[in-house]
Amino acid sequence: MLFCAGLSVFAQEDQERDSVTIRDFIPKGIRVGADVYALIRSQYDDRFTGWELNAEVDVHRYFLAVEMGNWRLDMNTENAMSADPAVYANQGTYLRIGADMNFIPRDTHGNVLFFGARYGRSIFSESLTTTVNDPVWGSRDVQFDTEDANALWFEITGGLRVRLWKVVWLGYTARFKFGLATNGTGNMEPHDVPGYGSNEKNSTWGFNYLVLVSLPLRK
Amino acid sequence: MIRKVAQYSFFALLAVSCLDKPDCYNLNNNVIGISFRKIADNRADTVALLGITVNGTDSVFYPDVLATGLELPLDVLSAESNVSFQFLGISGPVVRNLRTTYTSMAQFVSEDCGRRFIVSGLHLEDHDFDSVRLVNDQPGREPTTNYIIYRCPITDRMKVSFRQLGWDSDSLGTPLNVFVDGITSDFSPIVAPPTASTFILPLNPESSSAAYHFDFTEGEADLTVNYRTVASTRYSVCGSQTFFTDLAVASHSFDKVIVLRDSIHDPAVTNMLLQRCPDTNLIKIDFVDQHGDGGALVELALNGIITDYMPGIFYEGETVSSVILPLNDQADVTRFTFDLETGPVTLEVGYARTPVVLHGVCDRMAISNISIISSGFASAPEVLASETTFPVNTTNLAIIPD
Repeated sequence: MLFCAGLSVFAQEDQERDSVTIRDFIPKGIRVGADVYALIRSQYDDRFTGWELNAEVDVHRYFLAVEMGNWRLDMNTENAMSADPAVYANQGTYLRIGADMNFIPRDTHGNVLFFGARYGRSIFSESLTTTVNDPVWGSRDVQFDTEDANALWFEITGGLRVRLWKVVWLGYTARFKFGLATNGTGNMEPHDVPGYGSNEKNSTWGFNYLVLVSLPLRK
Repeated sequence: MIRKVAQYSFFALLAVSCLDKPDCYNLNNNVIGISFRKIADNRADTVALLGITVNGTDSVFYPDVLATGLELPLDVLSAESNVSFQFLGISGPVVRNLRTTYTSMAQFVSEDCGRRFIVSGLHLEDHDFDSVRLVNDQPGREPTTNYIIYRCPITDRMKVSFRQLGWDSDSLGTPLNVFVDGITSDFSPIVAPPTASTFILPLNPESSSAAYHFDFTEGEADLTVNYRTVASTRYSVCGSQTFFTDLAVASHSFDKVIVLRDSIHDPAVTNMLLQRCPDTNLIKIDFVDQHGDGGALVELALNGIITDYMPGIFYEGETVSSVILPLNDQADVTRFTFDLETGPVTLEVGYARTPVVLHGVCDRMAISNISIISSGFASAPEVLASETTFPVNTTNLAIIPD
C-alpha cells in the first residue's frame, strides 16, 4: 500500500519529470522456487520431513516475497543416557510474507544482493509421550497433544540471487528470526515451531538454499 | 564481491548454529519455597515440624525438624497441591493446611535431555494459617521463597527455667537439667520433652490463674500462678487476642521460685526460675592405687552402695573410680556399705553439722570435720578435705580398694 500511495502521489505531481520511475514500479517478473536444503535434509535426516516454496515479485528494486512451507519433526530419547523416555512429534504449515530491497540494482547480470523483512505465521500440532519417573509420585506414563496451535514471528532477511542460466536462478536467504509468540498450545510448551525453529530461543537463525525459475511479466 | 559476501555469510551462519547446546541438568522447575515469619516483627519464625504431607503421595517431608523455611516439590502432572503441615504444639500436634494451584506445561527439550515440565502461575487457593502471602508465583529449579507464612504473636506461653542454687550468693543459680515423666495443668494438656532445663507452659485465657503439676522422674512438684488478662487487637489479621500481665506465684512446692518477667514475650523468654537448693551433705570418695600425691584413680566394680539411714542403692552394678554419696544431715555419723565382688565392706564417716540458711529459704546443714570412724577396707581411707562443697568438686576421701 505504501508503494501504491507513493506511486499515486508521485504520478500526480511529477509525472512528467519522473516518468521513468513510475514505469519501474510495475512488476517486471516473478521468481518461484523451492528450498533445496529442506528437500535434502528430508532425505538424510530421519527426524525431519519438510518442504518450502518461495515466490518473489520484482518491483523496481524491491521484491515482494511470499514463502510457504511445511515441516514435521519426529524425535525421541532412545539414545539418551539418563533422560526419561520421551517420544515427540510435531507437524505444521507456515507462511511468511514480506519484502526485500536489492542493493545492487544496476548489476549488469541482474544478480541481487538484498536485505528485507518478513512476517511469519505457523499453524502446527505437537504430541509428546513420556514416562515421568518421580521419586515422590512414582512412575507414570502420560501423553500430551496439542492441535491447532499457532505462532507468529518476525524476520530480518538477507541473501543473494544469482542467475544461473536463462530463467534459472540460484540463491540463499539468511533469516534472523525474533519476536516469537505462540498461542493455543494447551498444556504443552512448544519445542519446535514449524517455520521458526526452537521455541526456546528468543531469536534464531534460518537458512534457505533456493533454486528458482523467473517468469517475466513484461519486457 | 558477491562471492566473498556469500562465503562470509555461509561460515558465519555455521558458527552461530553451533551455539545453544542444551543443559540437561535439573530441567523441571517444580520446587516451591516456603518461609515462616512472625507478623509482629517480620523476622524468621522457627517452627517445630512433625512432618509435611502433600496430596498424591505417602511421603512425609521434614519429619521432626526445626525450620524457618523449607522447599517442597510440586507434582508436575497435577495442577493443585494440598500441603498439610503438622507442627509440634505445646498441647500436642497442630495441623495447618495450604492449598495452591499452578500451571504445569510439558515441553520436549532435546533427544539428549528428554522432556521437562515448566511450572508457573502459583495461586494461593486457601489456607488456615494466620496469614499467608504469595511473594513469587514462579516455582524454581533451586529453592526460592514463593510463600511466606506469618503467624500471629503467641500471647499465652510462659517460660520457666530450672536452676540449681549453690553455696555462693548467686541468687539466679545455674541451669539445671531435669527429667520429667509429664507436666499437667488444670485446663489443658501439655506436651513436654522428657528432659530439659526450660519448659514452655500455656496460660489459661479463661481464668486468672493456672495450676501445674510436675511429675519428675524422681519426685513431683506443683506450681500455681496468678495473672491478669487483657483483650486487645494489635494486628487486624489476628483479631482480638488475650494478653497476660502481672504474672505472680500463688503457690509452689519447689525450693524457691523467682518471677523474672511478669509479662509474656514472643519468642518466649524466661518468666520464672524454679530453683533447687544446694545439697550440702555430699561427699566425694575417690578409689586410688595409693595414698599421697602419686596416687592414681583405679576403677572398682560395685554391686552397689547402701547407707544406714535411707533406702536405695547407689551405683548399682557400676564400675567407677569415684563416687558421690549423701551424708545423713540428721546425724553425726553415716555408715556406708560397699557391696563389692569380694563381699561387703563397711565405712563409717563422722562429721560436724552446723545449721545454715542459704538464699533465704534453704535450711541446710554445713558439714565439716569429716573423719573416718571405722573402715572395713584393708588400708585406712585418707581424708583429703574435711568440708563438703557444692557443686561437688573436691575429693573428701581417698580409698585404696582391697
